[in-house]
Amino acid sequence: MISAIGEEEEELGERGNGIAFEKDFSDRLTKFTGAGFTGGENFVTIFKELCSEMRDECGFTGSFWTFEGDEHALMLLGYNGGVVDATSQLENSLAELVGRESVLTGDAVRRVYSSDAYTVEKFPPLAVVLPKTTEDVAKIIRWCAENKVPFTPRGAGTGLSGGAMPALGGVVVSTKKLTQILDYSFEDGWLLTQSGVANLKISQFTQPFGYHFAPDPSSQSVSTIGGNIAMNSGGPHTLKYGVTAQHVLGVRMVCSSGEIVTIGGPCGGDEDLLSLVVGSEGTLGLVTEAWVRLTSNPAEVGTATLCFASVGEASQCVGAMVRSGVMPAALEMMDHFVLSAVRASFDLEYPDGTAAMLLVETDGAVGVALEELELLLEIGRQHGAIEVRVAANPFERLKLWTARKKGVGALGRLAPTVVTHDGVIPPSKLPEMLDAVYAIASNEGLGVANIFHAGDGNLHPIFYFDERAEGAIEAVVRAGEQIIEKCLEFGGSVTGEHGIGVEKVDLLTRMFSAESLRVHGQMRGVFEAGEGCNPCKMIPNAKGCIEHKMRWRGAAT
Amino acid sequence: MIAPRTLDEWRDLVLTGERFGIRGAGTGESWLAESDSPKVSTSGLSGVLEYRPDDLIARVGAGLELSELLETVARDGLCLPILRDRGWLGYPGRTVGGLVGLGLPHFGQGSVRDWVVGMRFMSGNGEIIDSGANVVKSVAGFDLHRMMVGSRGELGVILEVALRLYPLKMMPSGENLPVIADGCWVNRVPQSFKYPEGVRSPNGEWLWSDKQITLPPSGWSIGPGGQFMGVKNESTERFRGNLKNILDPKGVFDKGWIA
Repeated sequence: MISAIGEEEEELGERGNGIAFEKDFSDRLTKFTGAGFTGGENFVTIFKELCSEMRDECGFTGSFWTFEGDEHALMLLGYNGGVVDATSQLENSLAELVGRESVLTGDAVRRVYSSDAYTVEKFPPLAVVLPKTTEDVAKIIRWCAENKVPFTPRGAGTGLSGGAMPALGGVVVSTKKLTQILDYSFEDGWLLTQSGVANLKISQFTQPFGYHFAPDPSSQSVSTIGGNIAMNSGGPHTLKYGVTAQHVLGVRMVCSSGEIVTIGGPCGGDEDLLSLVVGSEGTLGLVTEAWVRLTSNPAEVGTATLCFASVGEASQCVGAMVRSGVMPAALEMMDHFVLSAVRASFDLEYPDGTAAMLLVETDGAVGVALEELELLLEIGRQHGAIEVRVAANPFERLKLWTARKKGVGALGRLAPTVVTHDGVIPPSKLPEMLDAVYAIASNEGLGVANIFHAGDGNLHPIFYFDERAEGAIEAVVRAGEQIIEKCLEFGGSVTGEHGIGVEKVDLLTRMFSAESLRVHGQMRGVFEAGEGCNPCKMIPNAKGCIEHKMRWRGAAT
Repeated sequence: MIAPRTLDEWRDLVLTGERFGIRGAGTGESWLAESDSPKVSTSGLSGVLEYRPDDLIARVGAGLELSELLETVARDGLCLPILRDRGWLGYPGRTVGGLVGLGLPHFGQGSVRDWVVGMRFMSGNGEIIDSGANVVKSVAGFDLHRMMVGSRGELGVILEVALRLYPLKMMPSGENLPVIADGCWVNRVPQSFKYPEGVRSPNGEWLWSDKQITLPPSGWSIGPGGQFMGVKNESTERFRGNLKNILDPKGVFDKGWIA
């Protein structure tokens, strides 16, 4: 009987352009929690027959769901219940838990939630749920665990490595309605917030009282605190103040069994476990609430731009500033490709002949910050800065930062498609590295612009191109790999703040031994995270991720 | 005392399955060592392995004496910002592995955890595990190097530590201590210090504290590492058990203390 089913799989494979199942059913039942297929007209019928056969021949008593769309049919294997129709069953089950208004289904929804801002790989979920409380999240995740339905946590969907892509379909649990600030103590410097609150909202809330939340990724106006925790986000000011990990005192999270756990708290504690949770990319559970550390606003801030006639001089200057003994609050770089786009969009002025601009900020006690800034500017002049401009007031400062933070968006002016890369090198290697980036792009016939955290050595080469051009996507992928190779050659990292997601899963093996990665992967076991908890991310756990990878890529074209 | 020098020697020792405690260079007081199991020294893991002052990075062996590290980096105007000249617990003479393995919080200056950017350690299965990188920023893989801070030798032998360094002249001076809470990077600790920082023994006895101890009503206490810290709950205790089972299933590593 097994062989007969095997034949049917192959037939299906050809007809449906799907992924071939493993031949042995018993094996499949333990290994697969969910699978997606593109099918023809009678696709669902075939699978229903298949499921009946499984029940008769293998004693399978699980459930079988289909979801029928125009082009896709999806199947989920569960372990309880009988054969059910997915569309209504799934929606009903979830609606019973958290209310119908919190459950989204339908083709448009499935398309929108099939990827985050990393759009190269996509896969549609069966449904999207938008819970409002930790308890509701727990209900949903417990239901997913009981029914062996994979789930993927999602914040604002601004992730750049595919961390919120529902890799095996299933349910997307969005934090979009977890938007309450719950408690705070300015005296003790902490704030308790639900994880769907946008990063910038926290600083806007605390600003009048003299505090802010230091990590400030460029996406901060929309990206959520939960997403920041999942990816251990950075930002310009992490140079001096540290990344998200240094600003999270505790979390309340729902583990993949549905258990609600509190780790750390307003005064810290549990730092060992917290160190695993921050940056875990949602593979250990879903963080619903977080105690974050508040940083007091500096008494004085100095901000300036320095323009250079060559990228080489600018990057040499970065190295000199890093070793000057002054720790800038931020040290950013934009090359002329970015500047020209930003000039058009944000009215940023700079002298003709500028090849690169540095944005430098210092902060601290009154008198100190401006003194430090002057020291850095002097280094800039010695390195041939053709123009030095100090922001005279908060308005001018804001204008400079707007140009920096919206710079990637402004690049949309240069070409129809932009792809942002992320890698880290020691800052002293910046001059050589930037030469390499331009050379790689030029060899592949691509445009590249650089706008990045120079002081950290955290590069963001951005390729701009027309994806309709033949071979363009392939060239971008090749160029990206060469840049990461170069980062590793210089003793850096494959990612500084965008995360591994699905994008860089294969690249991790270039940084760590198989032995190390096996142990990294075992960290899911610490939190008893099941296979269905954001599967196929960072360090893939579920079987079938490799087979699925073909499909994610396919869905993007 | 045994002091393995090479990775093979360490692995051979671990794979014997005989329980031992890590004693560091043996220069510090072992005020948390309570068991009779043999102690093994990390003095064979010394040396500055990579030092790039221009990038504010040093990678060193866990057995390196702190004083040697600090002297080396001070020549380039750098320091480890949590260690100030305050005679605090007599750090001089102790090792980097001790500093990291104990993971004490530092009054006004946060934790060494914030300055550990990478690590290589050996598990109880003899695996050599890397995490982090030799750059100030990396989000590749889990932050095992941060997790291991304060683990007291119970989860593995810390072999190498990559540290982020800080400019000496950016350090606030001692007289400014009350003021620095409003200053710059030291904001990484809560402002009011309402809750004292200190160290408790496993049986709850206070060994050291920065202020007079008054336990806050919520039952919070601040101490080093994970297991002596924060509000205990069943889930986190279970997770710690899982962690121990994954990294040291045979129980090779005794409850430890590294100096």
